[in-house]
Amino acid sequence: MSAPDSDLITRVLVANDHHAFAELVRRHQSAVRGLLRKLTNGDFAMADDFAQETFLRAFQNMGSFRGASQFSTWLYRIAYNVFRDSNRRIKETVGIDEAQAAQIPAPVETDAGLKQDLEAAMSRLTAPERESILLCYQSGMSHEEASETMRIPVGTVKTHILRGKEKLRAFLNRS
Amino acid sequence: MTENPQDKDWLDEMLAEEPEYIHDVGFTSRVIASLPQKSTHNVRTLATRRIILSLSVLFAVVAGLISLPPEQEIGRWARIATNSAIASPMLAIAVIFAAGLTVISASLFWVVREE
Repeated sequence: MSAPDSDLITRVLVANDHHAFAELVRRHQSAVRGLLRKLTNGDFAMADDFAQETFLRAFQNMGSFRGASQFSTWLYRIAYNVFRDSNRRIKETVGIDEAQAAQIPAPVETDAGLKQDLEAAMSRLTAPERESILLCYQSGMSHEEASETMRIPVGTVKTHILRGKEKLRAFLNRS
Repeated sequence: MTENPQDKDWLDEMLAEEPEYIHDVGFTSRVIASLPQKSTHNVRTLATRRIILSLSVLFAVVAGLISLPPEQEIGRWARIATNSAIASPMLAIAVIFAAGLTVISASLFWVVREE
């Protein structure tokens, strides 16, 4: 039976155990890289760089993990911060404003490609709408956790999700 | 995410769908390689502590054996060995050297295995 995350975290904290940390990375790499791939609009190389930075920061700040939330939620929060800091640093806007979004052709829906259509539609949302939806739906954060991560009020997170979903419905032409 | 069950529709289900698993393909190795290396100072300190502890245990055992009453076979043997060592300095040096070497080797093996 594999050790729970809490045991591995203790081994990292007490003995600086790289093997224990490697096990934590193996367990959570898929979810963290998946979230970052979506946040970067499918830029796999950039997402993996961000994921590596995420785990490095997690290792360096392991002592600040209090266990109030799940370890995965704590990692998503770091991943989002890495993504946001990098965006701020390189002044690169991954999200787009509403005027730009309107110019992108709507995806043509097919039953087989509904998932791809959804991804294409997601890329037409503004950055806060897309990020709110990704953090709450894909990463399983509560509205409160997403609000804390994005440093915006809970009500604003809910509004972004509501608007984002309305747009997605419209883009996908389904009610 | 907390939401009323009646709010669940096709879009909620699609958004909440489990994402495809991303295979590691060397990612974990790259992360571990990028971690700051463990300080050799810590390893040396740990080794020193272990050696001192092991030597203390060794000397405590020897002292215990010597202080056993004369009717105890092991105690008599330990005293004879100690007296011989004191009478012959070269033998004493050889015994101390061998014991020290054994303890240091065992301690280093212990430290390396834990690292």
